[in-house]
Amino acid sequence: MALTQADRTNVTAKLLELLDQSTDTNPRDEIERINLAIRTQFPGREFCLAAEFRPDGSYDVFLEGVKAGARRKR
Amino acid sequence: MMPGAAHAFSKLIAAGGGGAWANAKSVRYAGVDTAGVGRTNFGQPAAWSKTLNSQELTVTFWFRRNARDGMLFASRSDSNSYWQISMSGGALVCYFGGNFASGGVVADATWYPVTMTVRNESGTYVGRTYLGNSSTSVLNANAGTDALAMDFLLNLRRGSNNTNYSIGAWALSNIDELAIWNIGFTGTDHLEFRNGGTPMNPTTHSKAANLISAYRCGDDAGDTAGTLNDVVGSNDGTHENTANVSYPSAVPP
Repeated sequence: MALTQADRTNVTAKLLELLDQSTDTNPRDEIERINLAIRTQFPGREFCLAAEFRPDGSYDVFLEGVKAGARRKR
Repeated sequence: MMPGAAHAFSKLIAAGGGGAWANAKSVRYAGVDTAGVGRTNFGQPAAWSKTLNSQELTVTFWFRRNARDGMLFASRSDSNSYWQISMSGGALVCYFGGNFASGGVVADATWYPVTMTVRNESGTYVGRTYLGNSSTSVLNANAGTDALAMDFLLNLRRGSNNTNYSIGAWALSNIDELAIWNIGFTGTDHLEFRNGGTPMNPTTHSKAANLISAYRCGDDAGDTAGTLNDVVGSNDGTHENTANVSYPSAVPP
C-alpha cells in the first residue's frame, strides 16, 4: 500500500524526530536503524527512503525522492 | 576455468541446450550465529569491482525470504558501503557505492526476481533496483564513491574490516540463478531476466555479451558442498560453514 499524504506527513515527522534524537556515531548504522524504526511503525507501506552521504558523515535523507531531512556533521 | 563461451556452452548442453534451462534447485543457508552461519564468499573478483560513480554494474538473482531480514548479496564493511542488497523491516535495503536506499515490500515464502543496477543516465551514474514483475524501479539513488576491497558474499557481509563478519546480518533466504553483468540494466532488461516468472538462461539474454558470471545454485555439476560454480566466468564462490549450506528442491516461481 502506497503512502497517503497523511502517511507522508507522519513518516517525515517520525524521520525528523529520529534524526534529531540520534547519537549514533556511524552514519550508516544510524540510517539503517532509523529506516527499521520507521518501517516498524508503518508496516506494509510502500515507500522509498534514501540517504546520500558526504565524507564528513553528514547526509541528506529523501522520502520518495524528495528531501525530507538531513543529519549534520557530528 | 577461464571466462568464455566454451565453458558456458558445455553447461548449456548439460542443461538441455539453447534456451532450455532445467532448474530444480536453489541454494539455502542456515545457522544461528555469525561464526557458524552458512555463506558463500566470492572474494574480490576484479571484474566485479567497479567504481560505481563512473562504471556500470548489474546483479540479478531470484530470492525467497524465509521469515528473516538480513543480507542477500553484499560487498560491504561497517565503515564503508560499496554494494549491498538486503532486507530490513520486510523491505529491500540497497547500497549503491555508499548511498543508502530502502523500499519495496518483500513478503515471506515468495520468490522474487531482483535486479540491482548502476547505469549511466546522461552522464550521471544512477543506482536502481527492480523487484518482481515491474519494470519500474522501486529504489533509486545516486551511485556513491566509497572504497572497494571488500569480499562479495551471499547471506552475510563483512564487518569492520575484511577479516570478520557483520554480527547478526544473515538472511537465511533461498537464492537462485545469480548473475553479474558489466553493464547497466533497464526495466525492460529486468523483465527479460524475469522471463514471465520462470528463470531464464542468462546466456540467451539480450545483454549476454556483458554477462561476466552466472551461478545455477545447485543445478550445475560443479555446484558442490564447498563450491558455487561460475558457469560463465572463473569467479567460483566458496561455501563457508558448509554444514549450513544446502541445495534444496525449492525454485521459483
